[in-house]
Amino acid sequence: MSAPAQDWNALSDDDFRKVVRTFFTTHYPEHLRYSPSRRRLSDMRGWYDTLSQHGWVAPSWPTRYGGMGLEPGKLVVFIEEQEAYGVARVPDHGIIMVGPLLIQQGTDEQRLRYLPKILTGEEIWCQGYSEPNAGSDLASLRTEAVLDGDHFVVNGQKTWSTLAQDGTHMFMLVRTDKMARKQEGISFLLVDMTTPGITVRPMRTLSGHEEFCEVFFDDVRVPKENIVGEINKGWGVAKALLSFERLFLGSPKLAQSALSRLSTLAVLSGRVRDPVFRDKFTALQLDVDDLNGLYRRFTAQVSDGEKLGPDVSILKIWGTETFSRIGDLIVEVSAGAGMIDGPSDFEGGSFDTLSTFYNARPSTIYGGTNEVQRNIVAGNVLNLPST
Amino acid sequence: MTKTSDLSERRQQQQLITESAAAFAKRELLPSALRSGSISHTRWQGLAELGLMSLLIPEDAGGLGLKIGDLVPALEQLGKPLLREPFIASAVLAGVVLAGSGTPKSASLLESLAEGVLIPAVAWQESYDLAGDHTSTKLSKENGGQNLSGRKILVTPGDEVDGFIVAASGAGVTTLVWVAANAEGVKVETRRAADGGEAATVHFENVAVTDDDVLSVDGAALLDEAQQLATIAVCAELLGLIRGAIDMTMDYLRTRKQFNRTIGSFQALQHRATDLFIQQELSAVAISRAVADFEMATDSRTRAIAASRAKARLSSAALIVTKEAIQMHGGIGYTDEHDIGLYLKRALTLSAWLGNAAEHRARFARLTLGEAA
Ligand SMILES: Cc1cc2nc3c(=O)[nH]c(=O)nc-3n(C[C@H](O)[C@H](O)[C@H](O)COP(=O)(O)OP(=O)(O)OC[C@H]3O[C@@H](n4cnc5c(N)ncnc54)[C@H](O)[C@@H]3O)c2cc1C
Repeated sequence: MSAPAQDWNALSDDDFRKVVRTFFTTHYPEHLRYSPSRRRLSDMRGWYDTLSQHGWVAPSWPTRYGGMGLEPGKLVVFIEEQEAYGVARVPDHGIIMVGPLLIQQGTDEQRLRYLPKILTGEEIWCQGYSEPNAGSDLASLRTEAVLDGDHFVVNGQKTWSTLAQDGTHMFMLVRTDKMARKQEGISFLLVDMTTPGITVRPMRTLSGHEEFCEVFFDDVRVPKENIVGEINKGWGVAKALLSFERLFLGSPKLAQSALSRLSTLAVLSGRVRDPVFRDKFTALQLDVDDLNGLYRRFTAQVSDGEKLGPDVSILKIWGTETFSRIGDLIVEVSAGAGMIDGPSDFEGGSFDTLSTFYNARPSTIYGGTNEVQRNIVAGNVLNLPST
Repeated sequence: MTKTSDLSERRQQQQLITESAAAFAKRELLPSALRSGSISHTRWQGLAELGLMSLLIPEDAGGLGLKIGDLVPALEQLGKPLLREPFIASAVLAGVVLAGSGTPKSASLLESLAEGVLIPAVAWQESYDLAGDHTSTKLSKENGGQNLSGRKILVTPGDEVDGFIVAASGAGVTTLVWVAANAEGVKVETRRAADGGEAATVHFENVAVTDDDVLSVDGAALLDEAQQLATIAVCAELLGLIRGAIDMTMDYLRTRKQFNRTIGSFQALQHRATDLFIQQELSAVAISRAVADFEMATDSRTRAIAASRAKARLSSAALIVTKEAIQMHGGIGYTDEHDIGLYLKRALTLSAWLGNAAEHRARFARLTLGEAA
């Protein structure tokens, strides 16, 4: 399946950092460094294979399932090195969401069936939660699944599914009981995207990339055993997954890589010497450092076997808003070049001034908007009364 | 001293201009025009027919001889549904230079501009920084004639222009010369701006310049005045854009439902909507103050302070508002299919063009606090 597991956690952080750095410098393709936008599978296939061959696809999964089994401190080191080197994301819904979920809540059959193919990259996952009228209010979703013998028959529409055009499988939420109260009639399904009746329509984002899709379901037959958890208990399954998602979305990844880009620009544009810039940069640097600290705290909780609480939302808020402030400063420092779409020529080299800014826009929307995250913290952490 | 009757006359005139601009905007402009990528010559003609091209041009140069304050409300109307055409770059920035030049060449170019059959651009910038060095392009005398060589960046509009007004260093002064777009030695590298418009890099290699093409031998002050006027004009367009983005977003907050409520009923969004409204009103007063200061100004320093005051506010406000507008639209705001994204892109472009907020704050500080420390 993969190379024999190694005990990375036995290394000191510094030694581990060297190993990771060497791995990236040795194997990661130069032309894919510091990618300005989300990469499609076709660009990342080779890198996925490399990760797979070395057993590096899933840094956070336990070793017995083929992951690297990194403890939190090591995971942060991994992310820092990855971002410092400008390593792009592979399509990773399987790695960051389906894997951990099945490890936690799947059946043995499901784990055996799905985990290995995530590690090899044979199967690529996408997420089907949101619908045109069920965004923040996800529980009002209407795509329905009706049991018919050994199959569920799925009808409805999902939207904003990231890179669904490259997905071989989708994990989705469907309504299986229309009579029950909102959250209680929802189930969690795993669906093969080649099943007849599925239509995928890619949509362009405002930065001009086809990053997400509408997905239509017309009498799509899904085997009964593809349900995760019990029927009508999908909301609970999804909620468990959401905390993985929030942990991931709050990871310092985005902010860290944006900060690397900002320092590159500071050098290219000669702004590094400007005291006004140095103040602004340092404020952001410290924001990212403390984001790292927060992240470490939450990941430690997970590896100690504790459940993540609603307070993990602060990670997503701080992470994405720090990312966004860095994107703003990149545009500001770019001065006139901040109006150019695509690479601009600075004396020291070329630089895409708007990509971080654009990428920051959806980060405060996806995975539960930051308003919704703030509602969660106010209500469930600070215990403030609802209106 | 302006008499009260003059004032009210001026107001009436402004109202007429504003109303006709508003009617034109309603009839002809749609945000989606930004998606097409190119300039519409029909709309350009339409703007000319409104008389806008010659509004700032002095009467003795064949224009209407009005002031920036008369143009601002009209530009606001045009900016609201987003104006794709490079009105400010060509009619204000280039137009004012042509008007101040007073040569036979500039007179004939101005006439074509007023008729809506000329699209000129001013090529002045060489560094991304407003305060950077823009003087490497040289005009040199060579066997009887003159020769232009150098490279200009962020030239707006770029590849759809008829010609460039180029700022070049001559004999110790900044000389402004006219170069036709198809002249030998001119190479245009098109760069797309965020809003789909152009901001070209233009190379001039030994371009022959005749005496007729020299618009102003010592043109630094003229260029400076045109830049300050254009900067205030951009602010007016940005104010329109801000109003447009806020209107669109408030409509969305009133109609989109989640949790069985219109999302505009959530206090979290109401408070932030109010913050956007504050940005809009601050922007409006910043422009009014800048216009008043500019019109009273007798020196270039005061004019620059006025322009920087407005641009520092408007560049910042436009980005705050359009970013929040996207956020309040949720997922749909991040698609290319929804027009709110076009407001963000236009805001990015106009915020950076002619200096972003930080650059104008820096210039304001330099001019008001001095260079000390
Ligand atoms: C780039 C991108 C990728 C995505 N990928 C996926 C994916 O792969 N799979 C998937 O299922 N979904 C995906 N999404 C969808 C995402 O989860 C939703 O967009 C998000 O949950 C918001 O829903 P909405 O777009 O319907 O906005 P709405 O819920 O309509 O929200 C509109 C605005 O109202 C605010 N609002 C709503 N309710 C409240 C409240 N109670 N209090 C205060 N403010 C409120 C929101 O914060 C937002 O500002 C993606 C979205 C984006 C932008």
